[in-house]
Amino acid sequence: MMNTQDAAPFSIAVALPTYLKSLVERMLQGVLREQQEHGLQWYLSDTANADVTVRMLGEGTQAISPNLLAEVRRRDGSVDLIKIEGPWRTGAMALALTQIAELLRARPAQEKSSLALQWLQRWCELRAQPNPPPVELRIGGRLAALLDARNASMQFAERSTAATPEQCIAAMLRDGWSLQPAPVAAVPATRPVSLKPLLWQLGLQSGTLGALPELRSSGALRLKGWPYLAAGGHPSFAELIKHLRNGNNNRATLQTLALAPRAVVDGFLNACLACEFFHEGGAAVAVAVAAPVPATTQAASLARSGDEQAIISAIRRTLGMGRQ
Amino acid sequence: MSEIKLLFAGPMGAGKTTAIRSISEIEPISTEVENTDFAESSKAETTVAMDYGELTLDTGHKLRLYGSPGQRRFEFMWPLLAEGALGVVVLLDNSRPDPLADLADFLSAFGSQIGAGRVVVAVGRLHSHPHPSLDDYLDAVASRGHFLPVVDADVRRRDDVIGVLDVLFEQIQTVDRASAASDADEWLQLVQRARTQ
Repeated sequence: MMNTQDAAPFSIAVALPTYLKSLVERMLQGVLREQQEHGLQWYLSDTANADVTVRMLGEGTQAISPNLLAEVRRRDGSVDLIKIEGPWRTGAMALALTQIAELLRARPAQEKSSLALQWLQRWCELRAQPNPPPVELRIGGRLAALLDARNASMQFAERSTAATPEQCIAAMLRDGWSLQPAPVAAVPATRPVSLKPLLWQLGLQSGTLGALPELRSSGALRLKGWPYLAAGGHPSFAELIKHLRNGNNNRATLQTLALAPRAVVDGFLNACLACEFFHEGGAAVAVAVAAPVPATTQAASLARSGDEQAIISAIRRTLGMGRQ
Repeated sequence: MSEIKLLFAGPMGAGKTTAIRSISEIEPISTEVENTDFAESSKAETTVAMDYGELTLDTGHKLRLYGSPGQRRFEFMWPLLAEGALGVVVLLDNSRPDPLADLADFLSAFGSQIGAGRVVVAVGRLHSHPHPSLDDYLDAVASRGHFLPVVDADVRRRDDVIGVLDVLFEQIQTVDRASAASDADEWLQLVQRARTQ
């Protein structure tokens, strides 16, 4: 029987020759105790029922193999094979089990997108209220953080709950979440941090389910400035930013330009909207006009552009940068 | 392009030498002297004139990495050093007394490079000194009528320096593609006009 509950402990079995089995089980017991201290619950089980079965890597030679193989049975019935390199080294087995737990907890992308879109819709509703009140983010029924819509900041309820956006999203997927106005603002003692990295991640992930309602109208979209969270993102972001600089485009025209898959474009727009990187009221908002580029600079730029593409590619290759 | 160069600019102590060191294949040639300008920075040594590093590209070309002097009295040199540069990385230090004023100085110095999409600003020590925030920088850049990336970076980490360069190159390539497209449009219009005559 598969482990279908995220909160339930994961089970692990050892399918090794007898002389090795007891050794590995003893080692695992120590590692599993440490994992429990880090919030990961495991127990030893038999191979028929286990979420994870540890086997010999290779042909089952009698020699002690330097590596093991973990057979991970996922909730959808699929099986992943994970090589555990140097399992006898301190920390190697613990690291492998942490990765396996992540794998077991991973939800289908659709579920993540659905959470992201619902979360952002709820957040936008609450943020749109006049004098938006502080908002409680509850995860698994417990207060996780207090969110301030005016400053786009959040204060974790406890220092120990401070988490990266990815960890927050994983916890919400696992344990459920709610966003509601805080009854009486009992401000946590933790330092406020920017909410935008979480909003950005949710925005990007929501793109597979389309755009937020505010983006579906035909109004032009204009960026207030270069959206700093876009750094290191999808290669199309630079082009999307260029097309959103001057208020000449909206979601529909961007999709027509086919600069990136629809989900990427919608995700980027959702993220920018959630992080308030767009001017309110679209292109109608007056902003200072950028200083014109001197004609000499432009001409020089045009003459150099062919060479420059090659040079930038060479720099990227030499520095081992991903995009070339 | 006769010389391929990148310029690292920024106030004293922002990490220009460190950033150059992280990607240079030679130990940066620095003109470090004892700092006597404690009004600008409390660091013991600082760069006068410039830093210099190099990277040999896989095409055999040399990428020259220059670091400008950070002191305001050398302000006149900043645009001179930026002339002909592929791009400019402005490094700011959020722990300085008024980093937004530092930003304003460098926006003024590199106006033409900003207009050509060749400048990226990287802000350091944001984690220990969260104010001003990146949103404050974004507003400050917009209020001066500019549009350029301002990102968080710890230049002691090579990956962060490479990430900043990635943003710069993406921007340069996007601007170049737009220029090429508008050039092609002009050519097409010329051909169409010739045909109709």
